[in-house]
Amino acid sequence: MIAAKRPLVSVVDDDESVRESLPDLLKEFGYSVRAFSSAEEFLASDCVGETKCLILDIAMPGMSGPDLQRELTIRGQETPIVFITAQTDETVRLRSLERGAVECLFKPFSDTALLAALNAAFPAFRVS
Amino acid sequence: MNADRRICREVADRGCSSEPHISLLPSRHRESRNGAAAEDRSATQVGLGIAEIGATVGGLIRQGRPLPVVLTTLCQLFDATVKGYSSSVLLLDRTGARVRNAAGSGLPASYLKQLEGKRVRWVESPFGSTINAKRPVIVVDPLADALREGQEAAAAAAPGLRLHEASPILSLTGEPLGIFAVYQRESNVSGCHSALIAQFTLVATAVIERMRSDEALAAIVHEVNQPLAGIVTNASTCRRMLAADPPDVEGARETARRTIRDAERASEILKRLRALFCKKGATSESLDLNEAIREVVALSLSELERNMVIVQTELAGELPPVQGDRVQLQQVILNLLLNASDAMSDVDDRPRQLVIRTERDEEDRVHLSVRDAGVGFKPHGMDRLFDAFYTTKRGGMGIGLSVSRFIIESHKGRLWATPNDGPGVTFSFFIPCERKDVTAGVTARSLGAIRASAGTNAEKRHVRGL
Repeated sequence: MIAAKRPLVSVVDDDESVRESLPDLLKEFGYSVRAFSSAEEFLASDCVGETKCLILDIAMPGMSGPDLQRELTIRGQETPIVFITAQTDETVRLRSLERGAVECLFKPFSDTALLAALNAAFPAFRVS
Repeated sequence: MNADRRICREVADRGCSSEPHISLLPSRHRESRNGAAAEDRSATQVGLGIAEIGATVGGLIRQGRPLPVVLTTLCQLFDATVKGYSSSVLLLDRTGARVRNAAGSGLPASYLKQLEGKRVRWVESPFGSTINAKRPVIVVDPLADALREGQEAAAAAAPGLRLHEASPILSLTGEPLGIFAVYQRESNVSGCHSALIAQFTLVATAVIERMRSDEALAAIVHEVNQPLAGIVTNASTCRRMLAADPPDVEGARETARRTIRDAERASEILKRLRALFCKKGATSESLDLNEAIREVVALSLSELERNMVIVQTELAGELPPVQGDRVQLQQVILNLLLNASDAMSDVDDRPRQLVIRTERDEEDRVHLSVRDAGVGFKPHGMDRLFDAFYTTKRGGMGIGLSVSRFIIESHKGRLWATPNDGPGVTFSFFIPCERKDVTAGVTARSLGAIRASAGTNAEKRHVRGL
């Protein structure tokens, strides 16, 4: 079910192959997508307010994923966050969930796992 | 000093000989003989056997508890076993020279914190002695105590606390991993406890070895998961594009192409890592770092020019040769160059200048630094750079900073990053100059396995403090 206005999902990851592949999949899901190579680049963009869900890498040079999460909280920006990480460490996942993330997916993650996380992030725009 | 040098050499030459030899530090420290002195009563005093200690600590490892927590628990077990004593574990970095982490339960946290990052001085301190001799050292003279080494450390220690025995934690191949140190808390306690200390040292060895292999595994998993994520996402997208009505054949073709490319990248990374972590047949040659840099710059020049990077080389005139694996070191240099170039890709208001410098320091080490004018990092984020394994760049030949650090440390050097006064960051490493009488213990194998390695047999010798 695709709504009239496609919600914006922003991808922030320093890995180029993620920035290249994930937007295409998200577009297939029916979202509009912007990709950023760093948290700083995302913050400097005009997408911060418009972003309905953030897909955020945890370990990045400069500002990390959790740093960006804190910054958004300080700004009062309650964007749902789905963390993605190549480190398969369960404690990292639990910590990010405690801090209020919708989900934390270990790379590589399946399209259905991503979809489930996005559906949890904004139930109003369910995709099957 | 001369006597110490002579003895150190003797120990190295004799390798793992268990023969006791005379006092390492005349009149100050005395070595324990075969690790068990006659007056040792502790092992019979207390019922806690090595199997139970191992089981408790092993349980923590299985729960995935971090290394400092596991080591602190080990110290707590010791402290509970022997009244009047406190223990600590000093974890060393891969060069075996610097304290990476100190854990202990009964010692002031301020003292443990002061030890972090400190060099283990080879000859002057009991810590240095124990690593140098690869045997436990009993401290008989409280004034020669390691706590009194340097005013800072002394100030941090609680009054009356003094080092009793230091025992080296060595890997299976004899590399120093750390030190198990036991301090006397009360002046009226007696006993040598060497047998018990030897048992705890053994458990600490197993813990650290296990954690190190876990770290190496985590690095491999991280490096491979990145392209795997690309593969799974691209293949999923491809399937969805084909299932659409009408099918998006052009889009599917493109995502299939990317899937194949990422799979090739994963395979390439595995090949490199396997070569890197495989310990058989270490390749070590005498090489000129300046020449290695020139080759890398020549190879990457077109890529750097495409990114409009201005490369400036400031190579030291008479650089002594270093001993190491050319391909591995060139991988590190390439990685630093490409990182610097990437860091400047958004810079438009100033020249994208990259400066590569080499120099020799007064400690007979060769330094290399790569300075960029990029976006830079926050100072507190510097250390995380290396832990986060973040630099697997698509299409590049980069191998990640964590792997770079691993390579440099296996060459007995250090790799670090510092923010510039102006914009950007400088990444630097040093490795020791070649010594005619020493074969560097390079544990990792050449990436260019094809290269003939005639005459570079992998016999490892560990000669330190000469």
